Amino acid sequence: MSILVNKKTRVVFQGITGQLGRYYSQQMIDYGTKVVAGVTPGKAGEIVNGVPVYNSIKEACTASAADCAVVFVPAPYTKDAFMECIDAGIRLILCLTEGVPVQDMMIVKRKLAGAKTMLLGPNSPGIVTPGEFISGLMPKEAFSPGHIGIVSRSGTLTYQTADILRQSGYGTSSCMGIGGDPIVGLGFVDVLRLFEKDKKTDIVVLIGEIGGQGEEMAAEFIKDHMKKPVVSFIAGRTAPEGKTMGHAGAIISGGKGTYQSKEKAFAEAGVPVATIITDLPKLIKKRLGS
Amino acid sequence: MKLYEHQAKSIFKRTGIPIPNGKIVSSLEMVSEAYHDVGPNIVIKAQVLAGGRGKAGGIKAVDTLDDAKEISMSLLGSKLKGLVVKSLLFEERLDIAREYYVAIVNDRERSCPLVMMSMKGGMAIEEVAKEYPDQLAMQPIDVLYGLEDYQIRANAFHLGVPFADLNPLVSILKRLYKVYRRNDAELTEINPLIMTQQGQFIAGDGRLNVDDNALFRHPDFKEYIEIGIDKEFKAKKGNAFVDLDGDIGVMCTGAGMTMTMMDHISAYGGKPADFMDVGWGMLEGAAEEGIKLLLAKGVKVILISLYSGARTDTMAEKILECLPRIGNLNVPIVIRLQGKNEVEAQKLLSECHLPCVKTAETLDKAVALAVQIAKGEVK
Repeated sequence: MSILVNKKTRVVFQGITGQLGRYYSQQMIDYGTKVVAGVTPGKAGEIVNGVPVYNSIKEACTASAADCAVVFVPAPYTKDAFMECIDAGIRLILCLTEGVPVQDMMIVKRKLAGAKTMLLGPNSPGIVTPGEFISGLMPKEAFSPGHIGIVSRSGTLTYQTADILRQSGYGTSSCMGIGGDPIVGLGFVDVLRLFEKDKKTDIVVLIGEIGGQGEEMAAEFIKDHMKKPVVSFIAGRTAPEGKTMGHAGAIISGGKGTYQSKEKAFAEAGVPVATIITDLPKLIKKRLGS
Repeated sequence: MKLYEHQAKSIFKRTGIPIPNGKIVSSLEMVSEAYHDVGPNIVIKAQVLAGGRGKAGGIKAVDTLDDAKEISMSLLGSKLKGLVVKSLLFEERLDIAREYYVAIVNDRERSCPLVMMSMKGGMAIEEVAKEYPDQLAMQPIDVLYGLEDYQIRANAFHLGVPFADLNPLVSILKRLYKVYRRNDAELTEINPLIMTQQGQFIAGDGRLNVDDNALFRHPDFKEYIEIGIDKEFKAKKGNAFVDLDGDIGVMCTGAGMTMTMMDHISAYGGKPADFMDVGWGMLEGAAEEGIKLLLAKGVKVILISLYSGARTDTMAEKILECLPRIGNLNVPIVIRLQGKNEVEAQKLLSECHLPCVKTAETLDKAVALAVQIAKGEVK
């Protein structure tokens, strides 16, 4: 078991004929992930990395029974790509594109509300189930199979964390980044709910960062609905207030979304927070030991 | 991207929201003509991208040309809230009956726009929220259908808005929502929205923050972008830069990772000099610009520390290739590149024989070394 993806997941790769699309789809295939189709409008009939290319997601799904779409198209076209996937009945969209306009995402969220499709991202590094499935940007070096679930807002910290755990002898069940944008598909709470039900996951590592209310909402959920232990690290402990640190996830304003408010929420939910990220293995050992 | 008051107001005007008569003044030669066009009773408003201008002395009421000249001379080129005043807005003074606060903002938790209204216009909205929470009314907006009249009325009834103001207020807010949607705003705000003694709503101030990611849909906004140190760095393929006051120059990929490095440095007793998220630029030579920027700042050590899903061997090549070109490279560079192809990356770094390059295999070791160098404990 694992969450969202495994060795049976069938991927259609949107944007496969671009330079990055070719590179990252090959990385997935090399890992053993089932990439069964590619989509680039106007390029139907081509073969990229041994994968047939179609003009639309719908055509690709009919021909290949894909249930998961990797969206790797430029930001101005991402909303359209999502709409196409949702209308084609895709089960899970993984979106790595960064810079999608916020108002586009508002419309996408309205569409998702009435659909069976789940969306991870945008601006997500994707998801890994070690030994079974890897998407896009994830460096395979970081992951080994095991029983820790990782969910992170930041992409790079997803693999950094997996690597720190691996170095300490801990493997992972599934690892994913939900994306650092202000509005994303699946949030911390959605992923925690899946990990709580997953038989292969014993403990969850939640990597948050300053800004927004996602960590506070996660803390509420953990307190009320989770039996499995959760440990955390929150990036931005020393970031000065009022400055925007890179992407939109990392804005603090007006006392909301601060490190202190997130740490307090986690403390009330019984979630220990590591001061530095390399302390996570110690916290895991303590929580699993008790 | 934030627009100046006069830029926001010109967009309001085009959308049918009344604004005061006004003129922009960017040099002392323009004062007389602007005063005669707008005067005699005017308000001079410094154009800077910061709130609380009034309290900081950036908004002055003026009744004579001599006073207008004097105030303009003192304000133009001065610093207000740390920002240089490059232009002034001369505006007719209005007879105020009531002041409202109205805004449309992104609600990230609910993934929709939010309409916010208050009769405590003129106050900073954060203060209203804190001191008079019941004087602030808001409604989430369904982005598929837009802002409906009844939602504005619901807010107005909650606040006790006089009946005579009700329909005009509905009309202003519907237009403000158009401004928000048409311009891909993150926030658009009128504070105060003035109801004059003559019974007309006029936008006393104007804010419009545009989503940077949507600028491809708004090519006309490009002329509004000001070149500052961070924008300059963005233009040169980097992602984001924030100037801080420590002595360890930080270069990284990903906002989360960059903040984590800053936190780590602080935990080890060091002080980061900056937040620099180079992102994908790391594969395209942005490291060179970043290193030059940090050297110009006068840091004691540069720490390039990251774990990436992109090819770290390519990053190592790009870094090593640019170093000989940088003339005044007089500080050590601690480099940790982990992730995709890290073995190849580490081989390249260890075989480079450049005395300034110090490699570290792990996050802990890299940060510890950088902090020791900054403190003068290691060379």
